Amino acid sequence: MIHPSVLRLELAVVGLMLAVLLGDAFARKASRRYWGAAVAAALLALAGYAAAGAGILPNASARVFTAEGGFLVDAFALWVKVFALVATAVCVLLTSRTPGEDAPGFAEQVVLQLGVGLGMMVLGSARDLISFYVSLELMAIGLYLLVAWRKEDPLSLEAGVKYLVYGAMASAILLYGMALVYGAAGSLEFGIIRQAAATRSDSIVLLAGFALLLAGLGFKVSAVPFHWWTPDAYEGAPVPSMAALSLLSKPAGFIILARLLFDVFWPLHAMWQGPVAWAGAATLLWGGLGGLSQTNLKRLLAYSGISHSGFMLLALASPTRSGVAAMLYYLLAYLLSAGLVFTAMCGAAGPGARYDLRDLSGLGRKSPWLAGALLLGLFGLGGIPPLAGFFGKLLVIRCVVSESGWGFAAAAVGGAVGSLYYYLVVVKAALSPEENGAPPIAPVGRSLRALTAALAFGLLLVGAWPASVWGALRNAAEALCQ
Amino acid sequence: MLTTLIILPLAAALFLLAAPVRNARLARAVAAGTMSLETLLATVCLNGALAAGGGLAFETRRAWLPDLGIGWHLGVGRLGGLLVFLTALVGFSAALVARPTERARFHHALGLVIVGGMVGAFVAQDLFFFYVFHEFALIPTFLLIWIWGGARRREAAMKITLYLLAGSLVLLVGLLALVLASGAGTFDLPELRAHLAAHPISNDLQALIFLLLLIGFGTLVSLVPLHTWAPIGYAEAPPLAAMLHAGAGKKFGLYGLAVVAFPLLPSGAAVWKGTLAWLAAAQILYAGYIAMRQDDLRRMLAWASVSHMGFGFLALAAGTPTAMEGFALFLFAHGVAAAAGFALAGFCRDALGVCSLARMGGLAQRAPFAAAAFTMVALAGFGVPGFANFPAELMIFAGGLGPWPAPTILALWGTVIGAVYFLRAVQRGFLGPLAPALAQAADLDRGRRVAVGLLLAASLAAGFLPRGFLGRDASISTLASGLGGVRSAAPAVVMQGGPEARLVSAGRPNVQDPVSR
Amino acid sequence: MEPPGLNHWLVVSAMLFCIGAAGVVLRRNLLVVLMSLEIMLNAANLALVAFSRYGNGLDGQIFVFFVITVAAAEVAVGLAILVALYRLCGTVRVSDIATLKL
Repeated sequence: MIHPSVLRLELAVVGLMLAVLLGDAFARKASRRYWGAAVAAALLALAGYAAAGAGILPNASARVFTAEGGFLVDAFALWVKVFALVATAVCVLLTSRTPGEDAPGFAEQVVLQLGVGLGMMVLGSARDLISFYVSLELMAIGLYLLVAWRKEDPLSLEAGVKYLVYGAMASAILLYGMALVYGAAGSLEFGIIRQAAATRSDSIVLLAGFALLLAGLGFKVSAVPFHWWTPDAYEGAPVPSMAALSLLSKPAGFIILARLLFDVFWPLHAMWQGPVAWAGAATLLWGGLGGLSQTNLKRLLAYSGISHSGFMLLALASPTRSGVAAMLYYLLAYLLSAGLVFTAMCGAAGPGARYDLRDLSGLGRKSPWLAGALLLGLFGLGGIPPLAGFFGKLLVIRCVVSESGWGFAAAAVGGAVGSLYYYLVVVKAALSPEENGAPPIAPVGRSLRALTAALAFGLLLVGAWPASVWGALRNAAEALCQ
Repeated sequence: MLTTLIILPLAAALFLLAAPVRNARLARAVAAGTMSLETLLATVCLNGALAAGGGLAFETRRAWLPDLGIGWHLGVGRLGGLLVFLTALVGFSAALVARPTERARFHHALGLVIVGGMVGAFVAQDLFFFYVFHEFALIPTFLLIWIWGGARRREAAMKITLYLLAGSLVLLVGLLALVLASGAGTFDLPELRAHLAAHPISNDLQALIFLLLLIGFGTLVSLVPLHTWAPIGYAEAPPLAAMLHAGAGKKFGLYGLAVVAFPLLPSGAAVWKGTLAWLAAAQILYAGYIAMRQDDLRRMLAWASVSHMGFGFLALAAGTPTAMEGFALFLFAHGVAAAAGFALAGFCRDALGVCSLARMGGLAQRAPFAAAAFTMVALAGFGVPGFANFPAELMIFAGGLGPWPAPTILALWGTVIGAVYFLRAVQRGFLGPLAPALAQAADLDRGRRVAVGLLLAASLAAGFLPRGFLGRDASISTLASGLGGVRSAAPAVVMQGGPEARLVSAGRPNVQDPVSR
Repeated sequence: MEPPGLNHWLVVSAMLFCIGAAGVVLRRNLLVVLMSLEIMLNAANLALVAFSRYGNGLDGQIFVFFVITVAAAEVAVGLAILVALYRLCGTVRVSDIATLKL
């Protein structure tokens, strides 16, 4: 039995997708100017509705099931939906800048992004293996297309192929893990799998399945040793798709990872804590050190993303509610800061730009406000107070010091310093005098300007006054760790 | 009150960024006006702190994130009050001295942000805000050096920022470890102090956390061997950044060691104290010898500043009440002298175009005010009686001789080195025949005169009346109460008359009060 | 001779999975790589059906329908990208499309 009212947020997004498709078929060209802004506004309104409970949850500790227990709405799932809606709105606004609203394929691109966002919303509510797998693939298939979107550009296609092959392989590994878990537990439902994990923790099949699940998700969140696709996919992908990769796909990986680790496989937490912490430290160091020699902004941001994944893995490695809350806060800070960087990138060059670091030269002169947005985003990524990135790092390091130990804290500092160095390299490039051959900056549209202002405000607000979101995050973490 | 003190410069910075102030002089006037108001408030604040008798004045508490034990808790103690006053004073003179060649608005706004952050760090009674406010200064410093610095500004900006960021991260880990290990579940400094006095952390853990804090704070104060950012950083920075950082910003590390690391981790401090004392002595001598060999005036001052920080570390390592009184006065004395020095060096570079001692002889003929002021800075720098450095260093030596006789004697030799390099700079740069490069040089303009004069006057005032800045009873030394330092036998040596008798008597109550308690 | 049991099916499925993985890693032609991916997915399907047949109810078989649908979509997207790539570069060999450093 399915109760559509529980699915109202997801259905609203589906409606939006249909509206965009129909509109693309029938609307005249002149009326398309504010499409991106309109879709984003609708998404943000939905996000506000979701943040207020969406009329589904009577209170923060309630759990509402539907679809035979396969779909769950609790405070955690609601938070995921808010996050997904906001992140999708950011991606759509970026798309409305590059390639632009009147470019061919704009509507399709927006629909795919909405699909990716929808996938993340369902993933947050996934309560059995089917909804888990289907929502993850909903995201993945949309992303394959988005990465390869610029089909006149060999680099974009190459990135798309690589992402597709590695992504499909990860999905296959994940699916095989699911099959083994299903065999060992005898059911697809998370609740029953959890009981099986508690009672039959010595079952080889179950453990093998769990390990394969972790490996597959390690790919999604680009954790070492499954990270190698990231720089290539980022470099080839157009900026809005890169934003979808890092603001939707990666957070979704962390969301479902948190659901698996802290809910489904919680009985095994003594077993997963160590490997997750080690993977986190390795990821952090790899991301922090690998980016040092990069000369391309997109590759550099890929390494930065890897380093942030390491931080979030370290947060998850502390098996406490504060670990989950720290991860959720970190995700939010990452969304705001990385979103700001992507916005600045969209403004700094046209659709086909390669974004080599020297292309940024003279940005400070040509557009101080764009350079300011870039700097703010980079400092947010680097964790400079009072921006949100700082408080995220503080929460994570707090978890690491209290749960994982000194070696991991040292790794966190080492990785953070490495990434700070390359953020400064970008800052240096943006502030240095203009070199020959730097592309002209594109005129910054009104919607992009509004996006910049909103992200910057959010970055400051959430950083200087974390209490503004802390309540919601704590409720989400408590709902997850029951 | 304290919130206003923090908000005022930040609001002024926002105003400068947003308002259409095209004129550079107007921007400077706004900044200097704000800072003079700030200085007035800081004076009130220092008076309140001195009257509070060892407690906190102007306390403010607001809930901020109770789940994590973080609260908006401000309050000003004596040491904090003195440093707030120092920051405001240095900020005011730096605003008067700054002459950016372009984008003056932005320049002054960045300076105001630094001041706001520093003041916040000195009045925060919550470790979270203590740390956050300090970090406020990092990015503006980076931008100031990057945009308005000297020829090697890019390298300098990268280096200083990376070092300070790395140091801060280590510091963050240390502070978090401290809070978590205490088990108090709060970042509130007074509460932590009370909790840790009752339930101290185990000795091994204390030693480890203390080491982290020492590395973190030490990097921020350029403790040898973590000092390599300082010479190039100060040498390339525009006067505004150099004055604010050398004058006030750098004191944060020493302040943090004095109010957080030493009192909260007494047995950890006991483990590392010896190392710190020897490092301090090594720092004074090593950096002093390097300063002697510098040709560039700004580099000379930068190395001198690194060298002087050794006195602060020595005082902390000694931890005796006398040394701690000297420590507090030393922070102020060094702050004003360094700020005045960098103001003058900045004048040489910006207005005269030369900063190399070899090419700037005889400046006294063209710029008597600058020459006189620099001579006074030099005299203050190596601790001639009359300037605040003298009683401060005297108390540090007197307090340090008991627990660490050998490092203290080495540090005494450091003042001789200081005399050598400072006098060498005066002689080469300002006396002798006029260098051809300076044939058209003009003297300090009015703004710079006021700024430098004010700083030197403050140094003289604190030199003659240290009580006015430290307070009657020796409450700063209560910071040292947890240190278990050996009480110094040295004051008796200091007391013996001589030409400095008047100054020594001014310093006398510092020595006597804790003993009589 | 005893009839094949759960373990036999599982062994076959594991072998299929390994064959598919080896194909993805070793083969140079992207079409073959896509086919190998399908083999991996079908290995998982086989395991699901086997578990379902030997005592776990029908859930697993329903899951397989979903997987088949999703796999079809994945292949459609993959082939579309391959066609675009072939039009642009005239090749679908892995060694010819290594502009991006790994």
